[in-house]
Formats: sequence, structure tokens, C-alpha cells
Amino acid sequence: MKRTVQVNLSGQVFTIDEDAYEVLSAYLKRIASLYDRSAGKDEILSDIESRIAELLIERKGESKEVVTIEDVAAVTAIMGNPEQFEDDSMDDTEESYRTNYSSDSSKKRLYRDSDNGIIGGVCSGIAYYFGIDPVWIRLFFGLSFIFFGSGVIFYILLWIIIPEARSASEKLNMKGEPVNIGSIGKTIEKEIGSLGEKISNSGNNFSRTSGRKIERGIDRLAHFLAEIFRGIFKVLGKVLGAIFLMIGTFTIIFMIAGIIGVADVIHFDSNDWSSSMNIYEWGDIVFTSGTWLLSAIVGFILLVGVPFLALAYGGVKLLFPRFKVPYLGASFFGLWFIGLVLSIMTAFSIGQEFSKEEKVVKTVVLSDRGLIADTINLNVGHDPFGISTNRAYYANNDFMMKVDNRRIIVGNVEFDIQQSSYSQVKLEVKKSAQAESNEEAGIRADSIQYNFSMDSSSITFDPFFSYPQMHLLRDQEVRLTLKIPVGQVVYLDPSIKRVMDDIQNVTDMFDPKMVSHYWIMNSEGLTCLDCKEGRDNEDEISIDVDNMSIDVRIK
Amino acid sequence: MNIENSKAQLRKGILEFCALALLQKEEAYPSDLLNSLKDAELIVVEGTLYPLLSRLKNAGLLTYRWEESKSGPPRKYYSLTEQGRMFYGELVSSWEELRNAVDKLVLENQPPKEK
Repeated sequence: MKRTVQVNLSGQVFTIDEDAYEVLSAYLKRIASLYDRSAGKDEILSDIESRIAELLIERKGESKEVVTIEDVAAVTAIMGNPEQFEDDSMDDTEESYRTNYSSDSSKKRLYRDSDNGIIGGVCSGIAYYFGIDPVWIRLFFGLSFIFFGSGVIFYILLWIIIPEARSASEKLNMKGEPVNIGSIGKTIEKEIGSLGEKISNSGNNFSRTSGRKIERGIDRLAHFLAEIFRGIFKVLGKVLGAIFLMIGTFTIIFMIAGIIGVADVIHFDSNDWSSSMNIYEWGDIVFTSGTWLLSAIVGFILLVGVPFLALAYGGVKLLFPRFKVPYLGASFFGLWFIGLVLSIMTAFSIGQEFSKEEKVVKTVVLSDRGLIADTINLNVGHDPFGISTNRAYYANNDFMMKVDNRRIIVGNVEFDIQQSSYSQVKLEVKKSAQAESNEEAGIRADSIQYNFSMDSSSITFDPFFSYPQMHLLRDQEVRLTLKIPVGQVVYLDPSIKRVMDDIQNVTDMFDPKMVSHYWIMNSEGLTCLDCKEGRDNEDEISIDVDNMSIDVRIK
Repeated sequence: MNIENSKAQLRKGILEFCALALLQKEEAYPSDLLNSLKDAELIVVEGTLYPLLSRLKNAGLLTYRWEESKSGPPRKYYSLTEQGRMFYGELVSSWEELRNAVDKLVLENQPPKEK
């Protein structure tokens, strides 16, 4: 069953199949577009319509049956390919030659023939393309299924790549019927016509046409392969384009969110704190001025963002080849280069700020202050800023907070125990900072606040040191070194874990495992007094302490 | 180099002249013209004729009148204007010269073996 439509050609009414109407209407539109600019467009069109009407009446006789797609194809073949009408003197011959050539090459296209196909119509479509019986193509694919198996993948690939012939004109294109071809359609007809006719021609003529036929076959094979490759690259290109566009877009969105959004989300004031600072806060305590901060941010955005923007643009170009923004490539490069320069300048400026380091070392003789116990309990007190112990332990980074309306930066101290050559117990507090000059670095180091407290048998360390925010983040450090003489026993309270920094001991035990034990300083170094044997599997030496006798075993 | 293309180029050049020649004798409508031109193998696709007629008419060389048809759309009967006749006359003399010149050239340069 087919739908039909009624058309009026020069006053003549025709009942025409819908697919035939489509073809005819496309044909007339092509003529119209070709003569769009010439004065006689309407006249030419109406004359041609009138002639088409005559030809259709001729074909159908007086009965006026329904006009089919075959009728339209035949009539348009007689009328010819609109590009061939060009006799206008305004066209130079070079141009019309090229037009003819290009229409010649587009006479047949590769489509899947879903009407006559068995699976996807791939074989049938290819057969039409080469003008041979689909049986041969199917046989080839059938054999490749059996012998290679790879034929299956190839078939599926072709199924995906080759478009299905849906519309009437696509079907005609697939079959190579002259939807828009005049003389060439006839030439094909002639050449594909029976061999006997050709033999009856002169021998000279025969050899020429058969030679041309081979040429045509090779040409068509090349076309076929080119169409397949074009299809593959088209699909790959689109997939790649989509991936590029996605990566580029998402990265830029995340970057913008990171720079603008996060700053608002994790915003802290008063005594709240965050273990990670957002970019503004970090920038605020790193850069000497807002200008440098801005330069760093802009530099970073351009240096990192522009390549992703370019990636997204590349993706769009792959997806829509016609999409083009003039000078965008050059602009991308220019912006990226500016970003690079800004970043280098900022890095250089910051580098200068860290070029000099100064240390302020203060040694306190604890024994003189009343620390006389045989066993010293070492512990870490409550943090003065009310910071959650657990989180602060894991947060190795410095952070910023507000105390009494003063903004301060807080950092973690490092604690070590060493052997002292003196008989006294001493605590060395080493504060260090960096700056452009030694003088400035000294001022910074000096301004670091650190407290600890003690009584006769214990030392309680503050876990943090602090310094004013105006001194900026300049690698400020506080390193505590407890120097104890040989024979001194210390107990490492679990709370000290958070400040311990690679305390050397004879068993090479890791810091976190050292706590909750008694340790004695002897001539070799810190030795555990109450560690259980075999606790530390990674060590080859095991120490067993039993009633004051020390048993050292080597496994 | 495509032989069909060269032939088409040759035909295109003289198509205008031939159309005028057909109309100079008596008025005709496009289908008549097409039959004659096709018989003479001067035209391959019919569509070629219509832009040509339109161009000649716009140049004032042709005029037409409508005539009803019993079996189809009304027909346009074309005839030469006075200007068209003069134009045709000039083309005829020019064609004579050209034909003689070309014939002479081809004959003189013919390979001896050719029939």
C-alpha cells in the first residue's frame, strides 16, 4: 500500500505516489536553486514543469494512472541533470566541466538495502554499488564467517557505518538509477546493457568499452573503500569529539567551581576551622599583595584552563566540522602564553620570598627548673585552640584562625629526643622561617609563639605553634628536641604521638608504636624497657626485657 | 580527457544557432524543437533547451504566443523577432566562414591513412 498525492503541473492534475512526489519535488527544487539568480527563473521552471507534464501524459496515455517513482525517474532522465543544463555563457567551461565531473562521481552512493537484505541489507547494498548479484557478496561474507570469523565484526561495522537507504531518492541513489542524471544515466544503461550488443559493435569499439568498464570497476572499488574509510573516521571522529568536549567542559566547570564556588562553600570565620584552606585563604597568606594573588589565579586559569577550552573547542569542531570561530586558535595560544608568563613571574616572586631562611634557637635547661624525676612523662596537652585532636593530627597542613580578633596561622610542631652530652635535661626549641632577607626571616622566626609547661616529673607540650597572619606562610617550623643524658628514662604518653617526628631508637621502631612505653637513653640510643618480644615483625632484632636484664636476640 | 564532455562542449556552442535555425523557418513549440534537435543528436538532455529559450527571449530575439492543447498543458509557440532574424543572419554567415575554416584545417592536417 502506498500513499499518493495530487500535483498540478502546468494545469494538469496528476495522482502521484508519495515517494515519486518526493523525488520530483527535489528535482524541481534543484533546478530552481540553480537558476535562483537568473532573470528567467520562473519561466524556465514553468516551461520545464510543462514539459514534464507532457512527458508524463505521453507515458501514461489518457488513462492517467498513478505516476510511480519509475515514471518520475524516466522523465527526469529525459530532462537531464540540472547541472547539465548549463549552457549559459556566463559560466566558464572550466566550471561546468567540474560540475559535470562531480555529479558523475556522486551518481551512486553506498547504502544498506533493508528492503531486500537478509540481516542488515549490507550485502545487498554493496551488490547494488558494484552492480552485481548480491549472492556473490553474501557468499563472500558467508565464507568469511566460517573461515575467519572476523567477517562478523566487519559486517557489524559496515552495518553501523553504511547508512540505510530510507527515502526514495536514497534508494534511487543506491541503485544508481538516474534521479538526477541525464546522459550519464543513459551511458550507464548502455554500458551495463547486454554484452551481445557490444560484440555486435565493431571490435575496436568493444575493446574500448570493456577497457573502460574495467577502469570503472576499479574506480568503483576505490570509491567503495574510500566510503568505508570515510565512514570509520567519521564515527571515530564523532566519538573522539564527544569525549574531547566532555573532558574539556567538565574540567573547566570543576576549575571554575574550585576557584569561585568552593570559596563560598567552605567559608570559615571566628573559631571554626577547616583542615584544608580554600584558594583565597591560602593565597592570602602566601602572597605579599592582592596583585600577586590575582596574578597567580589568572595565570593558573589561563595556563591550565585554556588547553582544556581548546580541547572542548576541538571536540566541537570534530562534531560539527562547519563550526568555526575565526582566530580562536591564535587567541587560545595567546591566552595560554599570557598565563605562562604570569605563572612564571608569580613563581619567581614567591621563590624570592622563600630564598632566605633564619633560625631562632632557644635552649631551656629543664633540670634547673625543677625537673628532677627519674622517669619523665612526656605528653601533649589540650590544644589551646580547641581543635579536635584527631583531625588536627591528620591535618599536617598549617591552618588559619581567628583568636581575639587577631588572625593567626597555626602549625604543627615536631618533636624529637636525642642524647645529651651533659647531665642535664634540656629542651631545644628551634623556630625557623623564610623570607626575602635574613633580617626579615629572623623577625618572622622570632615572632613564632610556642608554649609548653612542666612540673617535677612531666613535660606537657602544646601541639601547635602560632604566628600572626601578617607574617604570611613562609615555611615556619618549630622543632622541639629533648636532650636527655644517658640513663634517663622517659615515658611516652599516647598523646605525644601527634607531634613525634622520627625519633631514633635502637630498634628502629616507628613513632606511633613507641608510645605507651618506657624508654631509657643508653649509649646506643633510646631503648625500650617494656616492649613485648616479636611485636615488631619488621625488625630482625628483638629485645626482651625481664627483671632488669636485657636480652637481645637476633633472628 | 572525456570524449563525451568534449562532444557536449561542441554541441553546446552551436545549440543556440540551431534553435534559431529551426525557428527561422516556422514557429514551433519546445517539444517540436526537442524532437528535431534530438534527431540531429544535437541535444542530450531536454532540460538544456529551456534556459536557452528563456535567454534568447529575454534578449529580444524570440517571442511566443500561447496555444491551447487538447492533450496536455497549453503550449508556447516560439518565433523569431525581427531582431532575431538579423541575429540569425549574422550567425549564418559566421557559421559559413567557420565551417570552411574548420573543414580546411581538418582536411589539411588529416593523417594520410584516414578514410
